[in-house]
Order: sequence, then structure tokens, then C-alpha cells
Amino acid sequence: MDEVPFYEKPEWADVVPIPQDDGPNPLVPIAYTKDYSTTMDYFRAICRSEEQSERALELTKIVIEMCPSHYTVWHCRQRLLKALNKDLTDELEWIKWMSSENPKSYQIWHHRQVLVDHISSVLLPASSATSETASSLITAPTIPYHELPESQQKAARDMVKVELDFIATALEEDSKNYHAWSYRQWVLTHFGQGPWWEEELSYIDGLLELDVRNNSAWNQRFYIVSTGPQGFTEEIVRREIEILHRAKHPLSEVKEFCEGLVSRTQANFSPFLHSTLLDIYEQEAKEQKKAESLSKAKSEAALLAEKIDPIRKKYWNWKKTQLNSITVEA
Amino acid sequence: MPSDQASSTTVADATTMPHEAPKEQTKFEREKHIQYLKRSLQMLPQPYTSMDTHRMTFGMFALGGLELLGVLEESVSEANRQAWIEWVYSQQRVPDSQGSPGMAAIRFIQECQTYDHGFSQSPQQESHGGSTYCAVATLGLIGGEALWDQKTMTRNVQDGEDEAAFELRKSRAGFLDKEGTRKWCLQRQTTGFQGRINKKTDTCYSFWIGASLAIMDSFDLVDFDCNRGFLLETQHKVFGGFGKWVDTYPDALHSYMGIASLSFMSEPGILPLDPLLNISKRMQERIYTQTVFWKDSR
Repeated sequence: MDEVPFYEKPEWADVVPIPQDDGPNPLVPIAYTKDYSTTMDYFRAICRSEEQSERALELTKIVIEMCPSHYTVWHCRQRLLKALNKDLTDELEWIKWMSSENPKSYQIWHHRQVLVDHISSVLLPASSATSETASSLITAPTIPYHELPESQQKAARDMVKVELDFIATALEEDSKNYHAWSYRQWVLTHFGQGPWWEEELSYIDGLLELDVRNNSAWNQRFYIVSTGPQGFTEEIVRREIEILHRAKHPLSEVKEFCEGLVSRTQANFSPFLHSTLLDIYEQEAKEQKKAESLSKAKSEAALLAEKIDPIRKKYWNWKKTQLNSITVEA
Repeated sequence: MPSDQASSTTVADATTMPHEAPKEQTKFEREKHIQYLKRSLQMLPQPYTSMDTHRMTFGMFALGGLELLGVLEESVSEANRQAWIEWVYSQQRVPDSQGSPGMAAIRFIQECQTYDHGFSQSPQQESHGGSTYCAVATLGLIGGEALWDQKTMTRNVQDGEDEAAFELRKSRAGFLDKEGTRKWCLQRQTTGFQGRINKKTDTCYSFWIGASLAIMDSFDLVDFDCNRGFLLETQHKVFGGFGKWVDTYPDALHSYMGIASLSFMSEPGILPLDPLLNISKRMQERIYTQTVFWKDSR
């Protein structure tokens, strides 16, 4: 920041600041610094006069750097960027810096999405059809990647690469940043069904190599597999099961595997293992009406309640009483 | 596969350590919390500037916290009460009128229920304690059919319900799998609660998840001793208030959430809390019977 605050400079002398109208006795006032409250007084003045100028744009930046969650200021900035026809590439660079300082600000991530949406709408045609992957309530048109001429396909690929690299940097800092993952899904879908979907899978492979318990990465994997352009086919499902085999969690013979694991290790320590066995036995008891399965399910519930997962003791005991409602053949 | 140190430690603790409530029970610092919340009402310190747009919410935390501690009336002078009511109304903006959000809201919530049965912030994202509370409480506020569970619904053959009618009835149920949601919530308990799978235990999730369970009439399945033990550890022993983790500074949000979470376990000195409106039961009663807001609908 400059040594002299902007409001003491001659180029701001014509502006009459408007103080915050908080009434005589407001609820939970905040102990603002003098600098913040004066800056906001000038911002209010610029808002009221609807001034469209470089200095107004600069002022929004000053406020945002003091209070990045101030959505009114962000909105004002977006209108100014458009009115002044600014080069948005510079804006993206600034956002890169802002998001590294404030990785959990909804407004910063949203601003980036607004910018990229705008840039892409100028460069590339949007499809009138809605995306198949989008929820029925979110009907944002996506870009028909495969119908574009090569030059535009390349522009799309370049933009996606810049965005995915930018997000990857944020995920290096915090691999579970909800905003980053949310924006990543938007980028993947917005630009249509390009080659980045395939590459996304190897990116996820890498994250899971680093931390197999990164639930955000698993969620993204499910997103790619279930909504990607290749479709949620038998073949894809088989491939995914194969990957779980590699992670030593075969699903194909879950029951045999789980029982084998229990008998081999003799170590009753995993609530997830026994919870899975409980589910399997419960299913068997319901479908095959086998008394043996029901009794095994109850033993698992008792084991979980008493030994393996006592923090959920009340839940497992409740589960056991629920099992009593299953009818089996004697 | 190798895994990073932090998360492997967390999981090892959850799965191999014998379960035990903290041995030395710290006491609930009721008086200090009252002082902390009263100070917040007077003036929030400078770092709250970055949350300038959320002042109303912090006002709610301070007033709501004092109400749960049973001292709201005595803590606020009549002059302040009138002035603050004026201040709150002065912030009101009349929104553009919109259609009834009922079915659209239910459909959106259904789409936010994920493959692990928690709820995400929008479709396809990761399930999260905060959005799970928003989803479950919304279904609870809509009430009736919105709280049904699609998974356990069966076609009414005797009454001649055909497939189409059954599908239509099913579409009004807010939960795709309510038992799944209940289990997802309970699986988040470590000592207190985490907000997502393999994340850190944090004071506020005792509220987000605890309240979700309370709305599903399942709060009694929580391990009270462990939850209470964690919450008492996150109290600030000198300033009062609660932080998000043990040894973090207190803030208004976590202070309110800590007190509210203890209310679900009937902590002495805290009034009962309604998990749907997130206010004390006695205030809920007052809103239902003595204000215009509920007059026609209840």
C-alpha cells in the first residue's frame, strides 16, 4: 500500500464521502480501523453517483483486498470491468494472487468463474443444448467442443489448461478445498466434452497415490466416472473395480474377502470391515431368509457395539433391534 | 499406497485406539461464556472486519447464545432492545416476489444427496456437514412428505395405487435414503464431529451434524460423553467462548455452536434448542403462538 492513503490524494478531492448509516445504537458493531471505514465512506459515494471510471475500479480493488467477502463490492467491480471494457487477463492474474491469500473465499472463486464464463462466451459459441451432466435445475449451456473448428478447439483446450493448472495450485495447498473442487467441476463441464476429461482421471490417480484417504479426490473420481463423456458403462465399472483391487479392496468377492481378512488377521479393529460384513449378512437374511445370516448380522452388531466401534455403541445396539424385524425361515 | 502423515494418523486414531472419554472432565464455563457473548454484543474486535457482510449473523450468534444460556432478557437493557430491533428492521430489503419454492427446493435437495448419503452444497459435490444440516432442516421445515424416505416406501397395492401414482408420491419424499443419511451423520463422530470424511474434528460440526440427527429423531444414538468431552476442550478457559479446535481462539460462531451442541445433551444451565429454527424451544413457542409469522400455517 502507498504511504499516502488514496483519499488524501488530490484526485479524490472532489468526492464527498458518505458515512455508514448505522443508526444511533447498532447491534454488534465492528471495531473498524479508521482506514477501512474511510475507504468504505468513499466507496458508498462512488456507488451512489454510479461513477464509471478507472479510479472507481481501483477503489473496488482496495476495498476487496481489505474485505474479500464483500459481495456488493465484487458485483460493482464486475459491472465496472464490463463498462470500461477491461482486459480480463490482468484480472485473472490478480485473482490468482487473491485466491492464494484467501483460498476459502466464495466471492473470489465466483469472480473467477464469472470472468472465465465471460471470456469463453466471447471466444467460443455456447451450445443451445443443456449439458447432460448438469443437474436438471442447473441448465447452464456448455460449449459443443467437438463441433468447433480446430482453432477454437485449441482455444478451449488452452483455457481449460490454464484453469485446471490454477486450481491444481490451490489443491496443492489444501487438497480438500471445497471451492476449488466445485470450480473444477464447473470448468470440466462448461467447456464441453474435450480431452481434459481423460486427463482428469490421471490427475486424480496422482492425488490418490499421495493420499488414498482424500475423500474429495474420490468424490471427483465418481464425478468423472459417472458423468464423463465416455458414459457410465459396464467396461468403466470393471476398470474401476480393477483399480480398487490394486488398492487391496476387492469388491468382486467382498464377503469372502472380508471374512478372509477377519480370520487371517484375527484383529478385530476395523469398524468399516465389520460394518460391511453386517450389511452383507443383513442383505442375505432379507433376500434368502436365512436364519444363519441373521444371527451373523446380529453378532457383527454386538461386536461393533462392544469391542470395535464403541463410540457408536448406541447406534449398533439400535441397529441390532432393527434386525429383529427381519423374518427368516427357521 | 503411501498416504500423508496427517490423515493416516487420524484414521489410525479412529480405528485402533481404544475408545475412551477424556479422563479429567473440564467444567462447562457458563459464566465466562455469558461475559464473552455480552462483550461480542457491545463490539466485535477488528479481525471481524473481513466478515463485515455477516454482521447480522454474528448478532444472531451473540443474542441466541445468551438466550440459550437463559440470560437474554437480563443482559439487554430496554433501551438497547428497542434500538437493536430498529437496527435489524433498518437492514430489511423487500425481495422480488417469487413462486412457491416447495417442490423445486425438494428436487434440488434430492439431487444434492450424494452416493454416501450425506448432502453436498450443489449436485455432484462432496457431502458436507454444513450442507447436510441445511438440507435436512429445510426438509424438516417443509415438513410432512418432505421428511419421507424413498428407499423404504412401498406401492400401496391394496388401495390400487399404480406405478405412476407411486412414482409421483415417491418424488415428494426428500430423502433418497434416510437410513443412509443417519449412518453418514453418526460415522462423522470421532470424539466430537468432523464435517467431511477424513477431515478434522471441529466444534461447529457437533452442531451441524448433531442438529441433523436431532431432526431425524436420532440424536440419542450419539456418544454423549465423547462429544461433550471434545466440546469442553475447545472452550477458552480465560476469555470464555469456544474455538473451532482445541487451543484455537474463540469466535462468535463456534461459541454459539458449542453452546447449542451442548444443549442437545441437556447440559445444565442451557435451555432446550429447537434444531429446525435453531432457536430456544421457548422462543420457538413464542414465534408459533404470538407472532404473525406462523399464525396461518400452524
